[in-house]
Amino acid sequence: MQIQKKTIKMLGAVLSIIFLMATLHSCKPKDPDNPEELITTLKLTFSEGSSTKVFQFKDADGLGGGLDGIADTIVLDSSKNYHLVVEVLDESTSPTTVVSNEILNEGVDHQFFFNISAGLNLSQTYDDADTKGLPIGLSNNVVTGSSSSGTLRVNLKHQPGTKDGSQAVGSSDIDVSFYTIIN
Amino acid sequence: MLQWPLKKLNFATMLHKSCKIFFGLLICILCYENSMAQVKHPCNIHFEGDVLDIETNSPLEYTTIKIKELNLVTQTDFKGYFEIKDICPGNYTMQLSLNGYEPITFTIVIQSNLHKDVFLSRSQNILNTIQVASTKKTDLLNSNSNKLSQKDLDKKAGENLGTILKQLPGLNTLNTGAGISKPVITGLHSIRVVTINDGVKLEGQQWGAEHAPEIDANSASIIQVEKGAGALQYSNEAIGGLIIIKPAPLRSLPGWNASINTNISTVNLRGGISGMFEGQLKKTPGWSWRIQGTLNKAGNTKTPTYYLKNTGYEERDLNCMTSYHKNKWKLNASYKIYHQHLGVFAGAHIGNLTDLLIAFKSPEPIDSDGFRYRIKLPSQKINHQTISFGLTYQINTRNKLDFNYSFQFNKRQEFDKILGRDKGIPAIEFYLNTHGVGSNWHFVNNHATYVSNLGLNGQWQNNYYSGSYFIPEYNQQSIGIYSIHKITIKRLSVEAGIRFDSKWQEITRMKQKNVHLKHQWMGIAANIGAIYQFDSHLSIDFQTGTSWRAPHAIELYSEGVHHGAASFEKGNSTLKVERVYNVSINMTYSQGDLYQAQITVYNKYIKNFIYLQPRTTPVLTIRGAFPAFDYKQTDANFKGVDLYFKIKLGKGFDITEKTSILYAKDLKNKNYLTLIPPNKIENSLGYTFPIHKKIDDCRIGINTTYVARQNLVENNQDLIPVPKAYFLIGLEGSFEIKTTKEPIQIYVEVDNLFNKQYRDYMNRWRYFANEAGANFSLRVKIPLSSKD
Repeated sequence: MQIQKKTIKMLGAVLSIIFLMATLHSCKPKDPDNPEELITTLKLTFSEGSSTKVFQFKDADGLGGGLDGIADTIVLDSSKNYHLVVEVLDESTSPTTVVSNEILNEGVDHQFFFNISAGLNLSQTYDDADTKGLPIGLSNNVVTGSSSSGTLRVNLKHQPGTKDGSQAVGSSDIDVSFYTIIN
Repeated sequence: MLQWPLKKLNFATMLHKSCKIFFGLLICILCYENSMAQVKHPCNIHFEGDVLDIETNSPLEYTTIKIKELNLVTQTDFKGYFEIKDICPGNYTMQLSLNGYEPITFTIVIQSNLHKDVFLSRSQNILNTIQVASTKKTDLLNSNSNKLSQKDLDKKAGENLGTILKQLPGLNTLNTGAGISKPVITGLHSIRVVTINDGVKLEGQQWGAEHAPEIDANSASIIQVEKGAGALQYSNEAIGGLIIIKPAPLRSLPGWNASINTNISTVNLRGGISGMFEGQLKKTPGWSWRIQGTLNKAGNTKTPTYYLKNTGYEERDLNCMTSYHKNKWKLNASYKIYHQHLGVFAGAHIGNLTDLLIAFKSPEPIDSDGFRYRIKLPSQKINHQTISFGLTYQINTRNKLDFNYSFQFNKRQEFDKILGRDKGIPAIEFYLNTHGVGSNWHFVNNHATYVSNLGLNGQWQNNYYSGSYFIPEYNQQSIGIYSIHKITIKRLSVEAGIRFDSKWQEITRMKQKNVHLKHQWMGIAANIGAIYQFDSHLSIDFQTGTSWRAPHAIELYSEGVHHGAASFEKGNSTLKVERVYNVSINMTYSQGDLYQAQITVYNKYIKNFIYLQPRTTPVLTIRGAFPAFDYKQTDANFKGVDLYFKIKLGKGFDITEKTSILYAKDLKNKNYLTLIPPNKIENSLGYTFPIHKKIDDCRIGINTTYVARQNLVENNQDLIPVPKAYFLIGLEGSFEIKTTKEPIQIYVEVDNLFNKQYRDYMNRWRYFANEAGANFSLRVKIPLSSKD
């Protein structure tokens, strides 16, 4: 009888330890306010001499939201050499988070691709490079030709370990098409 | 954080050790055999029988049978059947024991081949009679459920639950690559399939089509699919079906048992080991325990022509069980932990619709890799823990009371490299805590012609998330009461059950905002079934019933891009309850082991069937365009036929055939439904032959699988055309090495023998990559020791 009582006690002790361990084990997220990361804005700044033109795509509620984003129409002058700076922002936070800083830091894993539709007289060349010498696309040179219109697609590819200059690899972090007019 | 101690063990060392043990044992057996004096005598009597419950006539699995004179110990299988081969004529003392039953000992005279049925009575029975009858009893009770026995499970050891269940006629799987597979019953899956693991209703993140059931299949000894009134004891939500997973009962006598199950597969260089150790000390009779653990590790899966990048996985599971049995009381407790870390196939993790279309056009995944075990981003970690306590009080021979409590903790983390987020922080996390209570009053009359179960279940649940929004946070309570009765009059057995449930839900947080949205649902589920046994061969089972489920929080309030699915899904808070009305007829013809044939015809009408309807225009986000889907309701109908037969041809040959046909339609929109398993025919031809005195049950076989093209789809319903039909050939072999105790079991298997390139409609990765190529698997089960 003594042994049995001991056993029951032991069994009880073991079970309560297991139970305690499980209850103590975080049953809730460690940081319940772990905020959602959003990319709300893609900003394109075209500068030529002292004049600058800013166009953006804004999706205020981010990827998870049901609202469609709105893209500006890009209007550029013909036969000009522009310097194009690309910025990626999260404007849902205060102050605004500049996501492009991180793209720059992880340049070896990211690249912007610019797809220009046929008929649009515009050409783009990269003006930056990552530590391995491949372009990132945050800073670019854009040359416009004669008056025309079409679409300019800006596609940021996330290519961890596979970046080789090819657009087909990786997944799209940003993919926005702007209607573009060259006057 | 709880750390499982085995985590620190190097996997390779473990495998190496187990190999050492295996070969060591093999040598021991061979030495033992040589040292034995080879005395020849005409001892070829075959003695077999069934062990049954005296009250309910139900077969008693895992009854330990000892024959003193032969120093032999065996166990009954899941049908309560035992057999002892090659014994000499004589008088033998048989000793039968099973947990919860009165052990019996009797002498039996064996002169020639013999079949004996033995009836056991429950412990504390006033009528402590022993009946030995020699007529074969057929089981009238469980014909509308399909079971997998320990042997079926051993044959597929190391595979996931879905793949193991696929052995049953009419069962399919919905796969996400080679690592994740979800059971599909009558064309329905995920939240429409309820899983009961060791008496506890599994509460994980089952809403996701790529979320596998959080269960270590190695811990099971029986898996069955319950389609009759018996399901009402557990839940009203089993629209598709109810899967019951049971571990083997704990030891009823002092002593210990252990076993090691190892397996390897070549297609993803998977290695798996599962060990079990159980016992009961002589000093503490009535107290039994078991520890069982599993380690699985696999690398990138190889298709016939390339590897699938980042498709490795790791699984670590531990199950502890204990029970204390004294007089009329039985207390049991268990703790289970399931842990999985898996890579998400790089080629299927697509940014947006444009990326998706590029991936479709590419004959091979653009993002490829060689073989490696390392899991990179994107990846997922799943942790599921269960604690359960049960108390049984056997009032008398006829009445029994059961109480149980369980707590389940489920954590699912999805890791992805998202801009602006540190590495190591999951992009999204889901937490689900569930407390469950239940009680049951089991009654059986003196002649077991009337059996009833009355009881209630209650559940408290809360769900949290962290990171991106996809599913809201909620608190949910539910209560259900049920009453199930079974009457047997001669050859007719009628079972009827009714269940009432009520569920309250409060949505507390959505899209990073606190909210208070309340829902309440209630309803009745009922089922009636009748089984008529024409003679010892033929029986007919008719079942009809209705059941319902409340819409899931995901169906009501999800909003966002589904991780890895490149689709935008939006919930609908006005969804109503989904209700199923089903009818099924099952006809079984059997002639012992010689001939078994089964045909099942069913029809399911589902009112307010919840489904995802594609929008005509995609959603435009900064990440590009995503195909958008809305949760909608319609009325749907599922009808199908499942055929199964097995014939022993003589001279050691056997043939098995399985066919399943399913037709599903959206009745309101007059459309076909998506992701309905295509028709399938599986055949196998086996040959069992004697090879050596020490080797038993040596069988080799060839099997074929034909999966038809799913033609019942609408044009433009899918992004790419439906895969073509395919035909696969496989090989299988198995044998047992006799030891003085339990035999060592060895299974060899080759899947997709000719390394065929194909895609399967029920695999979510069919858009991007081919199925796995030729795969060779070896499985060895070693009972380490067993003594009293």
